[in-house]
Amino acid sequence: MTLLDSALSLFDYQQDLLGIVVFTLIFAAPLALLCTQCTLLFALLRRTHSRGLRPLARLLHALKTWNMIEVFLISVFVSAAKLASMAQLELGIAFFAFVAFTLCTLISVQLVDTVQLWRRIDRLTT
Amino acid sequence: MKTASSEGLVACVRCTRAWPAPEQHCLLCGKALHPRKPHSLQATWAFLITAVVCYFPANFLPIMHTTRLGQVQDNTILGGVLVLWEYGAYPTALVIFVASVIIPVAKILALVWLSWSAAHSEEVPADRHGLLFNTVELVGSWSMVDVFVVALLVALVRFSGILTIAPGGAALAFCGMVIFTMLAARAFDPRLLWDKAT
Repeated sequence: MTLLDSALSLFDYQQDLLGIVVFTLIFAAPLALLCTQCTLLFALLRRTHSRGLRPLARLLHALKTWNMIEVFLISVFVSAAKLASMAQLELGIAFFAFVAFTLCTLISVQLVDTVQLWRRIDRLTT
Repeated sequence: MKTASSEGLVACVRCTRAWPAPEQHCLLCGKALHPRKPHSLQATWAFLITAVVCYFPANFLPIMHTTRLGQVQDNTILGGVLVLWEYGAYPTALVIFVASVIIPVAKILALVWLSWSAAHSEEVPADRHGLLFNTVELVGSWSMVDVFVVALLVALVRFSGILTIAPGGAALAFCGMVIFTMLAARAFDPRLLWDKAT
């Protein structure tokens, strides 16, 4: 299975609303967060003067609350522990990529300095 | 004591920049400026009550249905913890117990206490209450562990005829409870505590 299946398989059991919420929290929000951060950082490094920086920084602020990828990582370990007694599990290569992705996302979100981010945007857009 | 409001300043809750009070919107990020969030306590109570309403189905309905060789077994959240404990998976049982039983209840109680003291207390120890609020915000999303575990198990366990796991009604209710307590924490304005600081 892939990680995305854990959200999608909820639709097979008519739990559509739950499926949408889980999909948003573990896939859509982290992906959007990654893209937003990359675009913002790149723009700030290149000193791009763009009106789009402010909406992006606002989006980043909203996404930080709803990104739950690190909670999902713990859930992966818990479900592995639950299943270990019943079946033999083999980890795919995506598992290690996922762990690395989660840790990097976690650290990069922690490193964002809100005050400095907005001060830089202010300097670039006025 | 010199404070922002005594100096006629309002801080933006998004980008932290302080502006002179007549300003209606943050000139930097555009968020509406309020000295204190409007109707903060009312919104916090509304979200908290919704969370409490979700709490009951979340704990009494089964969170997943396990079908083993044609026999259906319903598992509640607390039942799942007990099963893990019996199997001797103590660390896992502890993680689930803390994340899905202790944290949600503690979060709701803490927010009830904070909202109550922001409205009715004469004097509030603002530093300790502020710390409590920060902790509530920090642990906000960690209760989702159980919902994600159900989603993962549903996707993983599909040995047709032998063992299948289907999500139960409690999963959505639990998810709702976690999200509504997060919204309640967002609606609460910790600056209300400063107004009553000793």
